[in-house]
Amino acid sequence: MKDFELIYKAANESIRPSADFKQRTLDRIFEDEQKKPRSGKKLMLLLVAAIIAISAFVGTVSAIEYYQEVRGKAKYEREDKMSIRTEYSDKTDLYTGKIEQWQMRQGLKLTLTEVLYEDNVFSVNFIGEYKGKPCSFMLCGYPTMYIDGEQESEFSSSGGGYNKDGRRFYTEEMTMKNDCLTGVHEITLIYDEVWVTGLGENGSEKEEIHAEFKFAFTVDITEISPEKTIYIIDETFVDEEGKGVYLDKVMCTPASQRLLYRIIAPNENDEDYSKRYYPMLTAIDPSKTCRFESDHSDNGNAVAYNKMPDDFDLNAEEIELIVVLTTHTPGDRPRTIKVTCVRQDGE
Amino acid sequence: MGSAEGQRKYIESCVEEYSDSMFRAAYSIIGSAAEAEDAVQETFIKLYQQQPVFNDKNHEKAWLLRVVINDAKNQLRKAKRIVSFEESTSGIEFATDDQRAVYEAVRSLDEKYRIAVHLHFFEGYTIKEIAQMLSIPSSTAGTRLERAKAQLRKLLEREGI
Repeated sequence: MKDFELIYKAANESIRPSADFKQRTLDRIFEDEQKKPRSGKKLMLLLVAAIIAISAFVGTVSAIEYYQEVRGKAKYEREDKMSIRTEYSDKTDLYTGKIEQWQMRQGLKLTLTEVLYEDNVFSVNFIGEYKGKPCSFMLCGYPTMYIDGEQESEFSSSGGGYNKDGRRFYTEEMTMKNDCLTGVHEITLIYDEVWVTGLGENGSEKEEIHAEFKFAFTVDITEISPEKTIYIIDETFVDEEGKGVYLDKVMCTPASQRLLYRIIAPNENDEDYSKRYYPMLTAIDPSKTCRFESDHSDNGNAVAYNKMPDDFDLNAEEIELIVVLTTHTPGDRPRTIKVTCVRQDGE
Repeated sequence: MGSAEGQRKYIESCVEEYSDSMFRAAYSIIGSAAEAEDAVQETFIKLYQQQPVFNDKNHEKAWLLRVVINDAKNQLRKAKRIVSFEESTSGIEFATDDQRAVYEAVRSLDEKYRIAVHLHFFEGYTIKEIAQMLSIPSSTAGTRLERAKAQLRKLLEREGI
């Protein structure tokens, strides 16, 4: 890859913003500062430009109504550590041949090729065909994840581009807010639109199609999370504004070697993102520091998980956590709380 | 950076120093010059408004790249469309056909792979640094880079590179 690196670096030298970009940037920064909230004029211009650009390359836009629920069962094969490959089996009752290829109206076919679960991220790969030709497509909307059929969470998703030959595997990456540690049994993806850009009938025209579909597959996570221990915390931290911050629950899952805990922030439903707390578990034992990984949901609650220390006592009746609470508010001091968690089995 | 004048000079120096890098990172994700420029400007506005404190220059650059990458990803989602590499590279004048082929090969990768490739091969970040920047585990960053390399090898073999 050495040649690749040199060529890629050289190629990037050709990628530059427009000549007056730096000056326009400074003008915009200091203009914004003078009149808050920001003027929408430039955004409007960009929007108009974007609409023109989209209109120029889209030949026809057709709206189709399509809704189909397909169910499948994912089978896990354990690879190294948390890397798990799921494979669809066509021998289960739930999983039928329909999921392999969704024939939609107007000649659109979507083929679900694989579902990967790796490091708490689901990747769902599709391949598209439109009127007999490979096509690219984009799934839009907000898929929903059902946990144990009760809770609900959102995925984040990402887009992509074409492959060289016009054919591509589209990967929809979904970061799970609550992963295997809590026991995920069913995931339902409901897309409100499918945008497809493929070759039109005359070979040069491009089309975009809007469609709607959903699919579900069952995930049996017992293999990767065969047991878990729940620790309950009674103590409540009260912040400087007198609001309670609840460390709601701590779970350790020996199979995945992780500790998960959830905190309920005082400003639930507060839309001021910067004021939300999110926790950092710095140590089980003050003498040890755990790797920090955390995520925070949009409703004010926060979920964080940490790698379990190598010498963590799986049979401990009590564990002591030191949690650092931080916010996105500039200048906000981190708050440190120390809580004792009492083991509770059999949930 | 106490005074308003000092802050202004600081922003000017950052715009001068990092604009190109940030633009390339955003462009590698969005594939549209206008939208990449917008992402870079939004990032500088955040820098000006939030005035984060950095440990050193590396920290400063990493913060700017991380924010511009997130902004570019958000823009891509909001735009609800994908940009083909033909569309995204049509206005760029590459010095050689190999450069165009390599750039287009990277553009054809999935977004998460493109970002990893750009940060590693152009910006020179290690897997650990990429993981920190993208808030993902190192193992995930490593996997993305390996998969990207495997896909690139296949694509570029076809081009005889």
